[in-house]
Amino acid sequence: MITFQDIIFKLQQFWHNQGCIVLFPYDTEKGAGTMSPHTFLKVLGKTPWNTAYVEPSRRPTDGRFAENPNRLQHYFQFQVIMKPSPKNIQDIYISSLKEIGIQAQDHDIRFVEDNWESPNLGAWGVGWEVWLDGMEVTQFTYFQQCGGIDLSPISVEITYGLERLAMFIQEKNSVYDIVWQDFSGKRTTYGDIYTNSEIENCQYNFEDADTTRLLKLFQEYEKESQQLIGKHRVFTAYDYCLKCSHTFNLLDAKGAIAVNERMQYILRIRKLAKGCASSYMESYEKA
Amino acid sequence: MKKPKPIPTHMVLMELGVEEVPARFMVNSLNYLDCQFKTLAEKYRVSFENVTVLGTYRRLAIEVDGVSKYQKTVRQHIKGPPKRIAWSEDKNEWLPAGLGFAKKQECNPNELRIENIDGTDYVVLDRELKGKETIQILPELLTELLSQMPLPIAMKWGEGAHTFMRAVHWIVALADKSIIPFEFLSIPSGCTSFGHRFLTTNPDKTHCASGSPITINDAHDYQTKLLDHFVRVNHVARQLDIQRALEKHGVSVDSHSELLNEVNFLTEWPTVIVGTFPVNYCKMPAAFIIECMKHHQKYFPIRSGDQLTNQFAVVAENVTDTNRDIIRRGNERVLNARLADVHFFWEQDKKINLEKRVLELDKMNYQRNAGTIKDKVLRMTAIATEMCEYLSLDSPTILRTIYLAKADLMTQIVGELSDLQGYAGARIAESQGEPSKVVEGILNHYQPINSQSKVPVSEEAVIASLVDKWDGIVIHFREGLIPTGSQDPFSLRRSLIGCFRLLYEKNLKISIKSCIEMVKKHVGSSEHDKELEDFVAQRLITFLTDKGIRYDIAQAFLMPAWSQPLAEAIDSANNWVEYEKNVPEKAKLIVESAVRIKRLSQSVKGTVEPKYFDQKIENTVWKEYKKIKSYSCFELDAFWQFSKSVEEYFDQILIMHENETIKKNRLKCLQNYLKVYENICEFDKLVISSP
Repeated sequence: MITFQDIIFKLQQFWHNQGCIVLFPYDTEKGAGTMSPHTFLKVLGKTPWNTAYVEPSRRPTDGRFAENPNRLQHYFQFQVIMKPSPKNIQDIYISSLKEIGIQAQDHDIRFVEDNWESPNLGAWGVGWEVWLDGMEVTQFTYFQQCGGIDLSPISVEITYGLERLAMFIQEKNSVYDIVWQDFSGKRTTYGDIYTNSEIENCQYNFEDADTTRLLKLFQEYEKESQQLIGKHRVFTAYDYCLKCSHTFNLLDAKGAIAVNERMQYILRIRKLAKGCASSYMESYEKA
Repeated sequence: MKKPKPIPTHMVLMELGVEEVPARFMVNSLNYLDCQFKTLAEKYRVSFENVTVLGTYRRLAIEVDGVSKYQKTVRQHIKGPPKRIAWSEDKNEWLPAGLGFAKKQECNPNELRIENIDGTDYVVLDRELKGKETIQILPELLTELLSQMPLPIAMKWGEGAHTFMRAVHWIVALADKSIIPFEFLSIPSGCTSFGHRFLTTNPDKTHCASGSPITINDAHDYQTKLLDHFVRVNHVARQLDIQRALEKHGVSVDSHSELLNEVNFLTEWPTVIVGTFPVNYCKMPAAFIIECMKHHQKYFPIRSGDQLTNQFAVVAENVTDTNRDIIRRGNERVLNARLADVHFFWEQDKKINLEKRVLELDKMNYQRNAGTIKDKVLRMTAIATEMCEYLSLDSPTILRTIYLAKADLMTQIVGELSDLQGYAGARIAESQGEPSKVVEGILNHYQPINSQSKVPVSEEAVIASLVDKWDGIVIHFREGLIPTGSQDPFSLRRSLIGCFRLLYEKNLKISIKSCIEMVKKHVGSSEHDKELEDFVAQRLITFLTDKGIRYDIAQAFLMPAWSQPLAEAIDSANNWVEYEKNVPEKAKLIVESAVRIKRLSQSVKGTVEPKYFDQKIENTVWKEYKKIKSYSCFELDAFWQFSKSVEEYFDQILIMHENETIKKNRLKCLQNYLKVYENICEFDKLVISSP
C-alpha cells in the first residue's frame, strides 16, 4: 500500500532529482499553493527557480462538515514550479506518476484544456487539467502573468491534488478513508487526523464567523499591507495581502458579500497583489 | 505534334507537432490551414489539385496533392515613371527616376521601353516572369502559412521567446521525399514525427510521453505510417469511427454534436467503452444524470427508448486489451462519485419544502443595496399582481409560480450544478404536489435565456420571466450598474432582448413604457432613469431592424414601440412598409403633410373654438380630423384623404393670421392634427425617396 505520506515522500524525491528545491508549506492561510510567495513572487523576473512543496489549502466555501466524501475546506496540494519550463515537462510529469505507481500505459491519461486565472492575484496561465481514467488529478499551467506583470521566462506550475491521487491509488471512495501512514500494520487514516478539525472549521466558516469583525479585519489587513508596500517591505506586505484574501474567502462562505460587491473586494486584493509584485520586481529583479 | 507528357507534380506534407491543443480551436485552425494555403498558392503562383487538412490534439497537418513542380510563368506589363522625368533626350540616357525604376524591378535599363498611355509617354517594362521551382518557393510559403495563423488563445513557454496556441515541438515538411527546409519558432523542419504518446514507446527515457519517433520518408506515406503508430490523424474518418462505435452501443448522436466534436479532438486512437452505474440513480430526474455525464466527464448517456439506462459511453484513448477494464472501472468510479453527490443532494433537497426555501432566500444577497433574493421574489410577486390585473390574466398559478421560482437557488443540487436552476425547482415542486402549471412555470421561467432559446409557452412562465427580467434591468440601472461598451457583467442586454421577445412573440397587450412604470413603483425612480430609457430605445431600434424593418422606419416607429404593445407597433410599422411600397405617392403625401404640420406647430394652450374658423376649408379639415381621430393607424388611406385636405388647407390659408385670436385658434388646430399623425409614427424621421 502506497500511503498518503509515501506519495509525498516519493514526489519530493522525484522532483529533487529534477533539480527542485524541496520547500515547506508557507505559514499563512491561503487558497492554493500558487499563493505561497515561493510561487507568487518567485515566478517574477529572470532568476531561474525550481521548487516543490506540499501546500495546505483552505477554501471555506467547499467545506461539507465532513459529510461529503470528496469535499473539504482544508486539503493538500503538491506544488511544483519550474522556471523556465523545461521542453519535456509533460514527459517529466508522466515519469513522476510512475514513481507513485501509476504507469501511463495502464491508463487513459489526458491533458484537457483548463486555463487558469486567479482574479485575486492578477495572475493567469494556460494549460490543462490532467485526467487519469476520467478523474482530474493535476492542474498543469504555463504562467503567463502574475501580479499583473507579464512573465518571461515562463514558469510551469504542476499542482497535484494529493487526496484525489491517494484515493485513486488506494482505491478509496472517501477522502477520510485514505491511509495516511501504515506503521507495521498500524494504520492511521486521513479521517483520524482531520475529521474533527474539518467539522469545527465548517462550523466556524458557515455559522460562528463574525462577519462584522471579519469586515473590520479585512480593512485593517488591507491597510497594513498598503503601508508595507509603501515601504517596499515586499514579503511582509504580501503576508497581509494573503490575510486579506483568506478573510475575503471567509466572508464569502458566510454569504456576507453580494454579487457585485465581490468584484470590488477582489479588485482590492488584486491591487495589493500587484503592489507586492511591482515592489518585488523593483527590489530584487531589476534587470 | 508530340504527345503531351504527364506534368510531374509533388505531394506536399506539413505536420506541426504541438502540446495538447484545446479541442474547441481545432476545427477553425484546420479550416485556416486549408483556406490560407489556397490563398498563398495563388499568391505564389503554385498550382495544386487537392488540399486535405488533418488533425488531432497533438498535430495540425496539411497534405496537398498534385502540386506543380514549377511556378506559373506570367507576362508582366509594368508602368514606370513618365518619360519626361526618366529619360534625357539631350544626353540620350536614363535619368535617376528611370534607373531607380529599373533597380526596383531588378532589371537591366536596356529592357525598358517607352509607351504612350492616354497621351503621355511613360517608361514601361514588359517581361516574362519565369516560374521558379516550387520546391524553392515552398519554404517561404509554408513559413507564411504558419506565421499568419490566427491564435484564438496565445501562450508563451520556456524562455518566453515564442507565442503559439500551445508549445510547439516538431515540424515535418516534405515534398515527396525531400525535406522542405525552413524554421518556425526556431524549430527546423524535418521528416521526424512521433507516434501515440503511450501506445508507442520512445526509447529515450527523458521523452517517455512523446511516443516513438517516426521517420516519414515520403509525403505519400504519412497517414499510413501514423496509423502504424496508433494515430488516426484523419479527423473526419476518426469522428465517423467514433460515431459508429457509439451507435453500436446504442448512443444516438448527431454528427454536429459539440460533444462528439470535442471528444474527437481529445483522441488519436479512440475506443468507445461502456460503463455502468448503480441502477437506483436512474430514479433521479434524467437531467441530473445527463448534466453529470456531459458537463463534467464528456460521457454519452445511453437510452433505451426514451428512458435513460444505467449505462454510459466513454470515448477513451490509449485503450489496450490489458488496460480496458482498469480504464472502465476508473471512469465508473468517477461518475459514481459524482452521481452519489448529486443523489445525496437530491434526497436532502426534495425533503425540504419549497416554501421553507423561499424563507431562506433572505440569506442570499441579490445585489448591493438591492436586498436579498427573497426581497426580489416579493417584489416580483407585487409587480406580477398588477400586471395580471392589467392584462386580465387569472393570477393564482402565476403568483404561485413566481413565489416559488427562485427557491431552488438554496438547494444543494443547484449549488453544485448551476445549469439546473429552474429544472431542479420544478422537479421538487412536482414531488411536493404543486399544480402542473406551476411546475411548468418554474421550469421555464428563465426562458428565453439567449437568442437561440424559445420563449416559454405557458402564461405562468411568460409572466414570471418578464417580471424577473424587467425587475433585474430596472434595479441594476437604479444602482448605476449600467452596461458600457462590451462590458455587461449582469447580462442586462440579454435580459432586455428577452423582454422584447416575450412581449412581441406572446403578443402581450402591455407597452414597454407601462412595464417599466409598473416595476418602478416597486423599485423606485433614480437619477439613471434617462439612461435606462436610452438603453431601451437603442436596443429597441436594433430589435426592430432585426425584424427586417428599415432603419429610418424603425426610428420613426420608436415612440409607438415604446408606448404601445410591441407587437401592434411592429405590425403598424410593417403596414407602413407595405403602404410605402404599394402606393408611394400617397405615402409621400402623408409624410409631407405630417412634416409640414410639425414644422409650423407651436405650443398654445386652450381648446379649439370652431367659431373662430373664418374659412370653409378650416371647417372641412376640422370635421375630417374628428372623424379620423378614432381611426386605427392601419387605415392609412383615410390618413391620405385627410392629408389631401391638409394640403388644401395650407394652400388656402395662412396660419399666422394678423388677427391674434384666429392665429391662436389655427395653431391649436395644428397641435391636434399633429397628434393624430404622431399616433402612427414620427413621420419627420422617415427618409422618403421621390416616387
